[in-house]
Amino acid sequence: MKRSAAVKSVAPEDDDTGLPWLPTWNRVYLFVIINFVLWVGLLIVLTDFFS
Amino acid sequence: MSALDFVVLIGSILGIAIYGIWRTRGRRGLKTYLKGDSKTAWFAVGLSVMATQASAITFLSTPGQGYLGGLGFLQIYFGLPVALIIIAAVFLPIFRRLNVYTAYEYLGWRFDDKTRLLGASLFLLQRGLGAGLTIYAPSIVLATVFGWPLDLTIISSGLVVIIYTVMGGSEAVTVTQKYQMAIIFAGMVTAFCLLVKKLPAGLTFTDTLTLAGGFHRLKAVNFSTNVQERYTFWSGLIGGTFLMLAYFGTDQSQVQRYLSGASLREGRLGLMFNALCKIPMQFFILLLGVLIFVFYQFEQPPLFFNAALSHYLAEHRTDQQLHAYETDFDSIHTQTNRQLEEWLKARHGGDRSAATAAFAAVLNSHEQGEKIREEAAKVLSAVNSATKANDADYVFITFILQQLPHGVIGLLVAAFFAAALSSKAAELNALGSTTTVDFYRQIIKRDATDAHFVVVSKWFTAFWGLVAIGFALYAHLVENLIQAVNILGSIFYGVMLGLFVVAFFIQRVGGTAVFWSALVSQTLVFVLYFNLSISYLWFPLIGSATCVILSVVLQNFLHDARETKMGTT
Repeated sequence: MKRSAAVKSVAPEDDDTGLPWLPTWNRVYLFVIINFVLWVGLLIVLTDFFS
Repeated sequence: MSALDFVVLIGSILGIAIYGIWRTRGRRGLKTYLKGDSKTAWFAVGLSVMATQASAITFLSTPGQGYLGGLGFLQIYFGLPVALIIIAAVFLPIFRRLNVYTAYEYLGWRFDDKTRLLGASLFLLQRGLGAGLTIYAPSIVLATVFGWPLDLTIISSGLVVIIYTVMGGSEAVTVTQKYQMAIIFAGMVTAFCLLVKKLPAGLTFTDTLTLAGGFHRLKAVNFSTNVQERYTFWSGLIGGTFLMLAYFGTDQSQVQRYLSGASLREGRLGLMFNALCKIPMQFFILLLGVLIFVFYQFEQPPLFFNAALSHYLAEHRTDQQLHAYETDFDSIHTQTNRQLEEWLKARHGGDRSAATAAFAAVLNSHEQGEKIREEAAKVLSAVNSATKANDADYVFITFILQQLPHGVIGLLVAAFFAAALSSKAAELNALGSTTTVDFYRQIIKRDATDAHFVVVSKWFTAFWGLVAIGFALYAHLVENLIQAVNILGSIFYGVMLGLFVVAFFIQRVGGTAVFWSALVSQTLVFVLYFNLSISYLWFPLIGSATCVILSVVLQNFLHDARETKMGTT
C-alpha cells in the first residue's frame, strides 16, 4: 500500500451548503432520504389502491 | 417525417453541437480537455450527471418497459438516493482533494500501479461494451423513421458521435448537455400531454389508472423476498444501492462529470439534484409507457411494434398463415374494445358486479391476443433470424410516428438524438481519458507535453468509438436494451466498487491483497452469472462483498512488511 486511505473530514468552508433552509450537508442528506421515503410511500399506495 | 420535422431535428441538434464547439474554441490544455474548465455550477453538474446516465435507451426503451411490464422497473432506482449521498459525503471530497483526472488514479495513489490498471481495465471493458448499446438505440429510431439498413445507420450515427466528442472534449460535453436535456424534457413532456389528450373522452383519470392496475401495470413496489424475481423492493434497495454506488462512484463517465464542478459544494449539490429528481423522472417515463398501453387498448395496435417484424409482415401479405394471425389479432382487439365499453358503462353506472364481469372478459380477450402475438412471433423468428429483438424497444417510437403530429415527431427524434449525443459523448470522453491517463501516460510515455496527451486522448476517443460501433452491430441480439445495459454493468461494477470500498475504508489492506481478491471475485461473478438464476441486481453486492472480504482475509495471510507498514501511515 502506498498511502493511507483519505477518509478525512472536509474543510470547514466546504461544509457550507449555501442553502437557506438546509445549512448543513447532514440536513441536505436527511431531506433527500425523507423525499425518497415519501416517494416509496406514494408508490405503495398506488400499487395497493389499483391492484 | 415532414419538412417541419427535419427543420426541428436538424436545427436543434446542429445548433447545440455548433454552440458546444464555439464555447470551447481555442482551448487546448489537457486539464480543460479531460476535466473541463472547473467552473461548472451545481445545476449544470446535476444535468450533466443526469444526461450521462439517461441515454437514448432511457427514453426509447423505458416506455416500452412500462408498456410490457408496468412500473416495477422503477425499483431498480431505489438504491440511488443512498448511493449518491455516500458518494457526495465520502468519494467526492477525496477525488477533489487529490485532484485526479480519473477515479483509477486514486487506486494507484492508494494501492499500486497494478491495482490502478485493473480498475481502469474493468471500466474500459464494461463501458466499451455498454457504449455499443447506446449507439444502437438511436439507430433503431433512424432505421425505423427513414427505412435505412440498421447496420449502415449504426455506423453513420456512431461516426457523427465520434466527431462531435473528439472535437469537443469534456467541457463541450458539459456545456451542451444542459441544452440537450432541455430538448429531451420538452419532447417527453409534449409526448405525455398529447398522449393524455388522445385517450378516449369518456375515460376519466381514475378509469385510466384502474384499467392499468387491472393489467398489473401499476405494481410499482413488490416486497417479495424471492431472489429470482428481477425487480423487487429489496433487490432495488440493497442490490440497487451497490449498483448505483458502483456506477456513480467508480465509473469514469460519471466521476468526470461531477469533478467538473467549480467546488466541492457544486459537485455535491449536482449529485443531490439527481438523488431528488431521478426517481420522479423515471416514474413519469414508465408511466408514459403504461399510458401508451392503455391507449392501445382502445386504438388498434400493430401485431408487432418491432419494425423488422412489421416490415416482414407487410412484405408477406400473401402468406395465409401470417395473414390469419393478423386478422385474428385485429378481431380480438375489436372484441376487447366492445368489452371495454361495457366495462366503462357498468363502472360509470355504479354496477360493480357487471363491471367486474366485463373486466374479466377484457383480461381474457387480452390474453388471447397475446397468445396470437406469441405464436406469430415464433413463426416469424423461425423464418427470419433478424426478428429476435424485443418489441419493447419499438413501442414508443411506433406510437410517436403513428400518433403524434408533425413538428412534435421532429422534436421527439431530436430528443432521442440529444440523449444519444450527451451520454455517448460523456462515455467516449471517459474511455479516451482513462486510456490516456491510466495506460498511455503511465506505461508508454510519462514525460510528454500536454498538447501531445490531448492528441493521444483524441485518438483513443475515436478508437473507443469504433469499438462501440463494432459492438452495436451485434446489439440486436440482446433481450431488451435498458436491461442489457444494467446487466452488463452489474457483472463488472461490484468488483470495481469493492476496490474502492477497500481503498476508502480498510486501511490495513494493501495492493497485492486487493488485486488478487478482485481478480478472484470477478471470476466468481462470471461463474455465478452463468450458473445462478437470481436477479442481476444482486451481482454488484456479491462482487463487492466478495472482493472486500477476500481482501481482508488475504491480507492476513500476506506478511509483506511494506504492506503491513502502510496500514499505519
